Amino acid sequence: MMKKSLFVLALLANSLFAHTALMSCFNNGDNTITCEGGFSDGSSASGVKFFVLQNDKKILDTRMNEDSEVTFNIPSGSYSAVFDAGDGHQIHVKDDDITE
Amino acid sequence: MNNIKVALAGQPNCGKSTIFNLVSGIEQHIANYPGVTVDKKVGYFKYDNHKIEMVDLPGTYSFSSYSLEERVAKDFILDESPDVIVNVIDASNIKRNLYLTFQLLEIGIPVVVVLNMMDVAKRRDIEIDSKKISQMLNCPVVEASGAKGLGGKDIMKNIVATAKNKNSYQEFKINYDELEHHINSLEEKISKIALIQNKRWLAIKILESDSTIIQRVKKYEPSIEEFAKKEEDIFHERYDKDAVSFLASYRYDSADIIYHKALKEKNKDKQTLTQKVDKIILNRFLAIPILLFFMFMVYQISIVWGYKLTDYTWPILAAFKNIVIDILPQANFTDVPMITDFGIWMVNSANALMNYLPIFFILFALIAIMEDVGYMPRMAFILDRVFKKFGLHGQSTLPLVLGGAMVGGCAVPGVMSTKGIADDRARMATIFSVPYMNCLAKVPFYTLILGAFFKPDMAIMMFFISTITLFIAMIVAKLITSTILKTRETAPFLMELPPYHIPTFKGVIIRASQRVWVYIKKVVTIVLAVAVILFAMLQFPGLSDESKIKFEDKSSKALSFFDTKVKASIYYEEFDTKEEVSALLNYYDEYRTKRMTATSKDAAKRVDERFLLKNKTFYKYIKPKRDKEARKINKELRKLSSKRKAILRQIKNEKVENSILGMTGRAMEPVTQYAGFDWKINVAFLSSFAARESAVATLGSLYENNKADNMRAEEAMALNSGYTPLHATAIIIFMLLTPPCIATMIVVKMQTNSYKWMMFAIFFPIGLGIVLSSLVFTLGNIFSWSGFEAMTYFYVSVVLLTIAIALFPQKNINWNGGIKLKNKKEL
Repeated sequence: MMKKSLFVLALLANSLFAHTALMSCFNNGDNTITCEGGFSDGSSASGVKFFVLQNDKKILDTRMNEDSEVTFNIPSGSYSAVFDAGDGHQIHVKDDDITE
Repeated sequence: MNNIKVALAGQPNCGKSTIFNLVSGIEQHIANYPGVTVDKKVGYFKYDNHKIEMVDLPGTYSFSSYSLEERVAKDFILDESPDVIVNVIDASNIKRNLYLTFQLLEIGIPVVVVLNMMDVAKRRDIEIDSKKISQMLNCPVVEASGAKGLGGKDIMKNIVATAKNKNSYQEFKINYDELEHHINSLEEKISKIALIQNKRWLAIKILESDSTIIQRVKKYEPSIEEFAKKEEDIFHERYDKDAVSFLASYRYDSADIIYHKALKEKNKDKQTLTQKVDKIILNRFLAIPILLFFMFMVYQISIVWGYKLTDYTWPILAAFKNIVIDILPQANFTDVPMITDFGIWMVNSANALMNYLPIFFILFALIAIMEDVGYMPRMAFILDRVFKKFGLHGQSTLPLVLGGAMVGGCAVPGVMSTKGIADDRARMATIFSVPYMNCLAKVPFYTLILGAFFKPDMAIMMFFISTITLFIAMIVAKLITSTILKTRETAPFLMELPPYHIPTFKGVIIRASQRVWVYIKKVVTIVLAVAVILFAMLQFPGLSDESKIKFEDKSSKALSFFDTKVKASIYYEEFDTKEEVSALLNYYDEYRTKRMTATSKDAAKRVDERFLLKNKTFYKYIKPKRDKEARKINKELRKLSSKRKAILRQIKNEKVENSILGMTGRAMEPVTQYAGFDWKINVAFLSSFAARESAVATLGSLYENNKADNMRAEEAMALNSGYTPLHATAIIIFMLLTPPCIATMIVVKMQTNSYKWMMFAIFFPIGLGIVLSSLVFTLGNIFSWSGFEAMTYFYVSVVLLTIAIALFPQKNINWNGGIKLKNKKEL
């Protein structure tokens, strides 16, 4: 496990600079949102930090799973989903932009 | 319409490129000369019913066969025999530039002299009588100022007029007095050979022992070398002079005569603006801070801001990728056709490199500006003394900085920017040193390991990591320049600091675009070669029959699970076969990928519309809205999609593990065990360099796959550690020296023009990394050092070695001998 996460992150880190980070979010229609991340060269985003912000507070703080996805329950009120691939490579998706 | 072929020649920094851009317009071709990395620029344009092809020769101080540039320039003259040579001269520095002019005139091809930078000369109160020069040299002399856009028409007019009168051209002769007799006899000797060039010029070149010319003449007159040697010997005996320096001194004298007859310098002793600025820029105390400031700005503008630009350029590449994926055959559930895998692999490899284009455009424009302004040679001047000790060059600064000497950069632009280094050996050494710099991609990796194993010493460890690479790079540079690069040419360091100029917008844009274009063309061809090899190394020999059955079983289970779940649905008949389910799944996954690349709301809407149009039946499952039945299917579809992804990932991992690359990892184990690495880490390192996306997946399955927990990676690592900090140190050391990524490899191939050197750039760091990390790990085990101690010892040794090399006397002694005594007692 240790080695796994170590290298998963290391290899991920490798792709941070050269490639553009991407994320899109969908409303699944069952009161959940799925956000999928990735990099412009097709690299997996599994293990990349992901959080949901509401009033500048993190109400969810996790990492992308092996499919480079995160599924979470829709919070009440406005929020934004953040894909955090490190130094200045963050993607914010606001709730308004997540369609069913 | 007549074709006129023009060669543009001149000394470096004479403003040749601005003249080229002035007359040639945008339509230019740039390419490397075959077999060398010197740029070849060709411009085509029309003037007065003539089609003119202008070739910009590399800047040279003289016309011997000394440097690569000179050889390229001469080969062009010999092979292509242009109709006219245009010689660009820096009008503010005529005397020195005329030396080359005399050599060009002797070739026997009509010359048009362009006095460039007339504005600078006027500012310095240098009065030039260009008519007089024209009379004395018996060739047209045009006054121009490339930076101000003056003189372009005049140049064209004179080129055409000269080409028209080409046949009435009278041979230009310098009277070499005492040597004349020998020139004549050589000329006679070669008078019958089939070379079309001016025989007198050939004879003079042979007397100068010009190897290029001698090789060519030898084909017709094998004994020419001995013959020339005899003539030279006679000359030497009679006058006690060497032919080469004798010829040179006559040309200098001739230049001096012109200078005195046609020029008046009123303010010879007054300080020029350049000199005033240099007082600050080259000031003993200010030079380094100013240099660092400029370096920082180049880094900030090209890499940091350039990266932001990729947010806008990326969608174009994504669109290209989507087009390719649309063409490729679709997967039948977990059966992905190899052609599809291959196509996506190729596009990904190319896109990863194309993503750098905005960075490169800015970087090349900044370099062009620094060249035009005149800062590049000054940069070399400032740092040359330090770098020379390590076989590098003052001009290595920029590549090293871009590679990440300071804050974390990227080796790709670093290697690309080595192009400007004139000294071939230093250029090669720089190419191989840049990948050692700490690229930004490595920084989070270090932070992670430090967080897990070196919490109390984090700051000092980070300091070690960020500074040690520069020392390692210098040692490596020293090592390879004194061994494998020993025989490479080093250009004599001619420290000519050109006057400062204001760069022209057009020139900068043209130069930056040309270099970017060369990059694109190269990427397309080289990516094909390298990516194909790597793809094969990851694909073959492929899955065993046993595994194939295992995965087929898994697939059909997933499918039948889906089937039972949706059987009750009213829409069931729309997907009651495997093919239909696969089609639906592909539709669903494709939609999600396309949505991901749509960055705006409008773009997302367009994707929706396209998919609705494409398949209305399926559309309701990806956007079920209020349809309850469809929503159920959607949910199952999502599950099936992630099951498919999981199976595909497992297949991929098993393929990689059993692939040629994976087997290499196993084969490396006997060696890497001394560094504390097992075969899994070997594969991880190997595949991280080959294909990042597969490496991430590989590791997921190579190691025990517990369900994802929310523990921070650092905590998990420290807790479940089978590793000691000493292991971590070995890993860090290997990572510091780790081979360049695929993108870097490709630019190394581009810059060295050889696959052999590319392979060297891959395997040398791997070798060095293994040796050093094994050494530290083994010693650490013997003396039971902690990880921090081991790193400290390693750091101190590297620094001491660097200092030792820097202090080692560099002065090469060029002579030896004296009275040799067989027996000391004889004294």
